[in-house]
Amino acid sequence: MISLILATLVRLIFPVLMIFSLHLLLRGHNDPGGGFIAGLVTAAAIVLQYVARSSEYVRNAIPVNYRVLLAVGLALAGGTGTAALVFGHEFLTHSFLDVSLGWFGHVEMSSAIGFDLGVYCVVVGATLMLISAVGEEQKWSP
Amino acid sequence: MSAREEKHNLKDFFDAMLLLLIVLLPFVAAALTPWLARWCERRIGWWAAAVSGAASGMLLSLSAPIQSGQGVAWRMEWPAVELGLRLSLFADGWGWTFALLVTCIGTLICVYAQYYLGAREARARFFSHLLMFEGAMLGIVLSENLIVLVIFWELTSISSFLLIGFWHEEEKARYGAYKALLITALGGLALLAAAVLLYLVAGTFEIRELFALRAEILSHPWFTIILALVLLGAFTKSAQFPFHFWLPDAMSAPTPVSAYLHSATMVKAGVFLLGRLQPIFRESNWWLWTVSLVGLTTMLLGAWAAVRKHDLKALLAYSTVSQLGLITMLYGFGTELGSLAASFHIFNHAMFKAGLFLVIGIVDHETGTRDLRLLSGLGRWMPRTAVLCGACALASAGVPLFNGFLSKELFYEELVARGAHGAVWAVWPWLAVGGGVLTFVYSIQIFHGVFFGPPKELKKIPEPRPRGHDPSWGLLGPVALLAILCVKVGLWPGMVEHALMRPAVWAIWQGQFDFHIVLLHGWSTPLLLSILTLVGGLVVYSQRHHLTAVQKRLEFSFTATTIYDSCVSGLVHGAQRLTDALQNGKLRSYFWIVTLFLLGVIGWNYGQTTGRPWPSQWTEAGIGETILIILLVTASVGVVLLQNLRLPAVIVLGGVGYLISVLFLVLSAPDLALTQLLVESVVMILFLLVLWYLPKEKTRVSTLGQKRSDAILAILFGAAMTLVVLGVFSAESPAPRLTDYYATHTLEKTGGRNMVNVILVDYRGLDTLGEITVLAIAALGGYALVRIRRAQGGQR
Repeated sequence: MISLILATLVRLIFPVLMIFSLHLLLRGHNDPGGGFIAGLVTAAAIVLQYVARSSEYVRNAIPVNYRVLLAVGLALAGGTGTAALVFGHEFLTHSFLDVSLGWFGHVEMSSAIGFDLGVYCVVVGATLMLISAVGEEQKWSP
Repeated sequence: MSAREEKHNLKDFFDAMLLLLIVLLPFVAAALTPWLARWCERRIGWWAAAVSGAASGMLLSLSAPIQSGQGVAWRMEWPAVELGLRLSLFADGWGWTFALLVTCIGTLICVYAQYYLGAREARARFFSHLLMFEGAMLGIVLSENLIVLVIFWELTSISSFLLIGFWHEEEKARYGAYKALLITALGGLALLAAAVLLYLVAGTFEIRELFALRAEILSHPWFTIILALVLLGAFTKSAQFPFHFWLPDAMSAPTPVSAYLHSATMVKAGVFLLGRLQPIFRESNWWLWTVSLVGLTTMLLGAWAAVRKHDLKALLAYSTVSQLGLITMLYGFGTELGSLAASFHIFNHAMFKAGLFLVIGIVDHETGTRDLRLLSGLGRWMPRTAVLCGACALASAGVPLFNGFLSKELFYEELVARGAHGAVWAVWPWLAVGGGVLTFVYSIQIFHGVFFGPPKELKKIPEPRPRGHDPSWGLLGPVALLAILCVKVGLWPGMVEHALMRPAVWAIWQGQFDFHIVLLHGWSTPLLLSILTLVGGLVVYSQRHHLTAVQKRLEFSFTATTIYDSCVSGLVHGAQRLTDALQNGKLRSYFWIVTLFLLGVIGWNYGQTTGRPWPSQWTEAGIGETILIILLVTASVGVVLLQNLRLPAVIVLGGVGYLISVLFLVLSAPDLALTQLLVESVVMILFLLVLWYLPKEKTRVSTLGQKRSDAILAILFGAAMTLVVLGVFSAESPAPRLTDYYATHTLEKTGGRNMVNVILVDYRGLDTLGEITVLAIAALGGYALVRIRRAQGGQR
């Protein structure tokens, strides 16, 4: 009984959570949010899936190797910093530009989004790696 | 610019590029060797020989600017010119002649090794390491910047380690390689320290600039330390007393390696450095006494030990130590004649010693043994080898008509000249004669003992090749060339003197002086000393069993090796005990160490602050905040009280976390509140999962005493943290000013309005990068631990 309710709820909430986490990631520069928080929301969402269904299911549905994700995140963060070196600035110098999209208003984009994305990937990868490793010792569904 | 000047500049440019190529070529070739070996592993030795030969050819093409005294320089202003770190190479006479020595002997060794190594040896690895060593050696002699020199210095130590340990399945090889590396790397570190100190004193790493500043260096209070460090580097590399004991153990390397590294080139790097840096140090009395005494001691000790050995390679090792001592002593004197004698002997010694090593290799290859007690009368079956061995051995003994005689003559001449300086110095020529006698004895022993006498049936050796025969020309060729050179230089030293010695010695001396190396220049005291040495040597050799008896009586019970062994094992055991104490696997002790250290740091800082770090303003707490804080305190106390019931304790701990996030919210820190909330949730899940696997019964309960001390530590830590937080809000703290700074500057500098996030990502981006790296490492560690447990069949 309980797991059926949970499964249904999770099926409804999961996309909302994912979009919410993306929203948090993108708004981090100007409003509360940012890479850490977005990563944790995504991790929580996927953990909910683990709890509601089996780890088999999640492994098939989200075929992401968390170790690779970890490495990708670190590479993104470090790469954003190194890109600054290419342009002749010091390591990890960010730049930003204001783009006006006419009808949409104007958007401020900062290169820090690359760094934040790296942080996001690391947080998701690290959390899920640990939880999935510990959790797979026994089946999630009762 | 006239056409002639332009042409000159172009030639200079090409010469500089050629210099760079000479140093880089062996490294590139070493990297390519494993790949090339896929097609022609069996002939890869010829590739290495070709590379070496090409390098020596390129060096020869640079002879014009070297001979004229101008030298060839290459320089690149990178990586950090403000710190004096630049890549600069300079070939003056000294570096150039030494580089020629390295490459020419290298070519011969490669050809020899091609035939020496058996069919199933890892040839690609061997020649790759050998080429890498050659490149590193060229780097040492051709570099101008001290830091670049030290880097190449260490590279020679590493490649020597790899080559000594080539037959790494054998315990002896591993031990020898390890020992050599430890000692020479120690010297390399000392040299690095000396380079840094010189930079602090003189402001530059470039050697020629240091020459110009030698007055400042000599008069500086740090001079003795710098000198001591430089000498430490040179003496460890050249196996001088008391660091001589790694060379005999390095003889477990294949013979071509011993001939190349441990007689002709690598061990000479130390004396090369002495020659190179002599202009700076030679006016100092410290230099004079330390270097010459160490040289003298080593020379006598080495010769004494060499006479006793019956393993031919060990004999040659000690003889190398002894000859290097002689060279060191000559550099120590700091005179023109001394430098000439030393440099000339470096070359002569390289020629005859490498020749002797290669001959021993041939004997070993053909008969399967290197033991003097088992070998005898091989001259019958290996006549050509015998002749070549004879040439090299007579050169080593200092017999006239060979090159060894000429450099020993110069040696005696210098000592006699020195002897006029004072009573102490008058003894030295006689000590040198003693050393010369011993040198004669062991040199003749090699020749006479192996190739003459009644032929023995070599039944006792494992691979009986009862008679041996003259090897192929591939093995004999290099030896023949070296032996011919010994004779040629011995009879007609003119070309060597003019083309090699003149630029070399003038570069060491940093000035020009006249000299002639002649075979016979009339009756003089040095000639008398030489004749005395030869006669004495013959006498002692004929009575050598008496000598052996005397030596047996004077044996020590411990040697430098035993001291080294006990030091190393002491170090290893000490490190083991320290690791066992600190990393004992108990979470509680880790926690204690970290917490105590933090407490110490906080307490010390608190003691250092002047004034009272206490807040100057207090805000009133509203009713909501008060309730929140009461709940928080209750929950925290609850966790401690509930510690025996695990699940409730974990849940209340989670509650504490949630309450803190509410607190953040109330204090208007939405980012922190969100993060805290989410982290708490995710970690709770992890915690509950782990709880599932812990055994139901507790396996280890803390004693009452432990609980009490834990409680005290926790209270102390809490108090310390409280003080820190209160201190942050005091008037003296820079925190309020920080907030203002960020508030005013964030938008214009970064385009973001969220101050907290911008600090994380932009202002303190490097910290965040570090944090996520730590997070990644921690996650990987936890993952690995879980998987190991599963692989071991963990508890269910």
